[in-house]
Amino acid sequence: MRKTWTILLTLALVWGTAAGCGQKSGKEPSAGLPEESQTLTSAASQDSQETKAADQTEDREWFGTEDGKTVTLRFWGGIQPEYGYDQLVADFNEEYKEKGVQVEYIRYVNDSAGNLQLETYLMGGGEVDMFMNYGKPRLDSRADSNLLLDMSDMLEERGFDLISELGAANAEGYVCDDGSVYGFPTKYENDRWLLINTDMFRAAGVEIPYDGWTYSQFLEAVEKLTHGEGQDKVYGVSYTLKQSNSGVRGIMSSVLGKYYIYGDDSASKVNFDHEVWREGLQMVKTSLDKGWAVPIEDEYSENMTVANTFLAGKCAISTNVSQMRLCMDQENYPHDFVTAVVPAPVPDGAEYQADTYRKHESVEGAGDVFCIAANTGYPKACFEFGMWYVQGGMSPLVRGGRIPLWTGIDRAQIIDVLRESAAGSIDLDSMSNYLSIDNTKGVASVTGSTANEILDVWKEEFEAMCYGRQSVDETVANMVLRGNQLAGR
Amino acid sequence: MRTKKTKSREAGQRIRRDNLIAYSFLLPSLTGVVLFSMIPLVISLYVSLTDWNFTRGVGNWAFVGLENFKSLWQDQWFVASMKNTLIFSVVTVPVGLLLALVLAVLIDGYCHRKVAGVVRVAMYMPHICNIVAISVVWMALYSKYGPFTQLMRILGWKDPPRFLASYEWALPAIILVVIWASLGYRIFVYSAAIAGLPRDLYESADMDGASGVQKFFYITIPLLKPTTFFLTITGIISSFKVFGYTNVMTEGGPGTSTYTLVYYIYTSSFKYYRMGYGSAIAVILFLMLLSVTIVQWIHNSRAEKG
Amino acid sequence: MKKKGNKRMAHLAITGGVAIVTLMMVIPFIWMVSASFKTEADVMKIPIDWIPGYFYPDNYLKVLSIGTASSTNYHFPLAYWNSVKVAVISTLTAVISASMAGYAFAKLKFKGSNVLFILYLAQLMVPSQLTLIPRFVVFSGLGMTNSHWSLILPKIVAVSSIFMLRQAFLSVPDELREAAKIDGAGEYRTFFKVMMPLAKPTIAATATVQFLEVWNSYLDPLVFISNWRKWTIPLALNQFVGAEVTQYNLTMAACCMAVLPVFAIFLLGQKFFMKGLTVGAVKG
Repeated sequence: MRKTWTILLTLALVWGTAAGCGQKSGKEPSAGLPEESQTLTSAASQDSQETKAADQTEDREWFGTEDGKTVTLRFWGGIQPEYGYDQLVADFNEEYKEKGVQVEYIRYVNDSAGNLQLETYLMGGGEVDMFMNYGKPRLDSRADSNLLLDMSDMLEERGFDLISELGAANAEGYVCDDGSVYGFPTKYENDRWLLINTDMFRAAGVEIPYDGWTYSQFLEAVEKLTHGEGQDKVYGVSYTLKQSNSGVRGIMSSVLGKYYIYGDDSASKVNFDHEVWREGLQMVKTSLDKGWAVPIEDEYSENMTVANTFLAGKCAISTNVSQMRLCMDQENYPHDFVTAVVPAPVPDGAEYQADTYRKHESVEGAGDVFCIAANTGYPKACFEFGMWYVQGGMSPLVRGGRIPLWTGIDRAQIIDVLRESAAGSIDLDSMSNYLSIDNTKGVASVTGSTANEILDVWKEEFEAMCYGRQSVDETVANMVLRGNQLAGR
Repeated sequence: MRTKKTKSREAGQRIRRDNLIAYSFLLPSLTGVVLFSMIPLVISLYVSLTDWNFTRGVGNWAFVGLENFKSLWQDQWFVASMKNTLIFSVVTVPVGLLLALVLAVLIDGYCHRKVAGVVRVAMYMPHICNIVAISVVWMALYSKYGPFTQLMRILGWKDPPRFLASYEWALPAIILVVIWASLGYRIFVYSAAIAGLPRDLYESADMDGASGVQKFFYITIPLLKPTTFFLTITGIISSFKVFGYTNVMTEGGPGTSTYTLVYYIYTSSFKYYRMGYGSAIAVILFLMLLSVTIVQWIHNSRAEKG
Repeated sequence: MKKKGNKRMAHLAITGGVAIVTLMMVIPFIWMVSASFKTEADVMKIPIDWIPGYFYPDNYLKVLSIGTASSTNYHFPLAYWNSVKVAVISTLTAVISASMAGYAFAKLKFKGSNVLFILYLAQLMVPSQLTLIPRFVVFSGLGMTNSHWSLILPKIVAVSSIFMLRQAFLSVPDELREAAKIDGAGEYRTFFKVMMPLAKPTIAATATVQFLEVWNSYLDPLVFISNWRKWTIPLALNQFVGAEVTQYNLTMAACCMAVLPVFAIFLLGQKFFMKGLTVGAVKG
């Protein structure tokens, strides 16, 4: 009895899933039977079950196991759950509780130890079904090592064209030459933006650079913004290098776009002797030498973070925009000023004044790459979650500062959400400016297997420069010499 | 004759049974030796000759011969970590031992027995402490307005550096912490050895009117030579393995000023995933430790003979 | 008479000097405890208020409450429990296995004992850093990374403890063993009922050494354990300091909680512990 039933159901399910996948979006409310997973185990009267199975062939979506058990997918991400992920997961579980799939969010620390563990699990299997990948170099190396599932067939089946749904510039880098897709970006990347304290800008009489600014304007501003002495000194800018150097690097790399690490497509030599690097480094060095930026010694010895510099009112600008979520979090980080998000400055040369550079439209504009583990037992269910996530499921993350990339999202609505939740903390004009950027013009940067090491070399030489141990020219020369040695390995 | 044969057969059986019992006693530890030491050792030696990146999976490696060992010496990170590791041992061992010896002699010779006991226990505290906790406390002490920096100001150092964030001072600052942390242990070992020294030598020296300093140089130091030797060896070995302090306090920085060998093994293998390369560094570390141990063996066997 | 007075003066002076050095040695800990009871504003105040004029346990409560909603990536009570669990099981494993091996080497005659003894001795030379990468490979192959077994199982071979215990068993006269045998006790019975009790002090000593070693171990858990639910105290502490928390009063409270229980165990087990060290050290 039971066996026949299982076979019937299996057939029905295969049908059902195929039908589900054919639909453009899997979000129609299920007309199926709510108590599905329970009835299966209790195996009631056969008649009614057959009716149910028949029903399912039509519009029933089921992502659980073939024998009717609900699966729980393990979804790894690097952000603390309270910044929207617990809400997101609760939403999904509510919506899909009748469709045989539930999700559990597991936070991993996005540092070398955390990524190492993630990769061990990806190799071993069983603990990770899907995860958020941070950074293209990591994505490439994971794909090369066959740790990721190719989603291209499922995307095609669903009719979700990455290029048109996410924007050509954002998606192109994620479609391999052979058409395979090992991950797709979900979030609007904000690395090339700065956090500024609008109250301090007004007090110092500095115009807020909504539409971008240049290196020399930046230096003028930080000079005016710096005041006070000793423990009460307020600096123009904090590069929060101990926490992350990607913000300060982004000021320069965003202008260089595709070739910010490597000078060519083959990733065989570095591009650190480009004039943009030179000028940007000079700008950073000047701000430090003149005392307009938090000294690097203090950054390291005092463990400076966005929380204890920018949010504590000790500097007017922070380059670490990835911490934007803290600016909207008055509960844990109470502060009484309004933060604006402005583009990072660009070199003074006339050729850099076009919007493509000035507003950083020409760079990779996407992040938070959704990936599925190659050895997951439930690729279909994982993919369903990914589709749900990118097509609006991720909206609770807006409050945590993560902006959805999908073109189907109404950006005006995001502003509405922010107006409701963070009006007193965030400058909404700057946000709408930030969201109005045409992020379809960008290009994906060239990455190579040595990128992580080269960026560490960059960091080391950059630090030596900040400490005043070498000039900009020497810094560039060392970066190039050592970078090329690694690139040529 | 016949009886002898059965006896020997019985004896053989007994020996076999004894062997079996003995091996059953050794089974757990022997499993451990094989599983967690021998096999990993062999893998390690082999992997050091490959270009293995662990995400490619076990076995998916190319044999590159001694390539890793050759390129090590052109690698700034490796050279810096080797240099720092050597500086570490050259400074921490003599300074730490000298301090420990003097203090041990003073505590033993001049302090009341009860005081001595308390002092030894108090000084021993850092040694049993979690390295991370120690590092965190010292990070606070060394910070811009931290007590250590303030003390330096009071002592007349007008503009003390940010100790852990300075190219020049980060390594000395960590060395100070390591000496501080191991002082109690060393004092303790010296004290134990001093307690075992023959009293009559000192008594006859007293009768000859020798001063405390003379006794220290002519009796105590020579007699404690084996202990000093033991502490030197263990000191070198442990300073070759320094990792926790640098990882927590400075992450190798600023620049490469506090890179150590184990720190670089960690980053190259578990950050850059160059397991082959990391294993090569580990093998170098192993050879360094091995040579120190061989020196110790030669020394010990000579001491036993002589 | 005068000379005696001088001598007493010298003793007093040196005792005073030693006391000062001792104070310097423990002052970081005193500062740690003191800072852990202060408000953030008072921590770095100069001159240092060694005993704050108010009672402020909030730091501890805050540290303990972090992550209770399972929302953060460190949770001190959980890390505590993990550390205790790992340390206790590891210590038991190490002590039992090492006693058995030590006994075998000390009292049992068997083929290949010399070769095996040298093999064990050689383990002292293999640094755990050398085998770190392959152990990681072995554990991830067995699916044991992120499991406490990856920290516990390797303790099955604690070579230095084996040698300490061998030494202890060697000093037990053979007659006792033979007497037990004549009474009809098998080797195991003799070992557990007669020999182990006789070696109790050394066993206690190795246990303390092992316990502290595991409790403080940092590199192995750093590599093998990344799921914060499995973290031991050093990892939680490191994460706590590395994260957005740079308030020294909170970090010091966290440090106190990591360190003070060990101090307590040390002071209680001091006698055994120190003895254990002498055996280990003087033998060399």
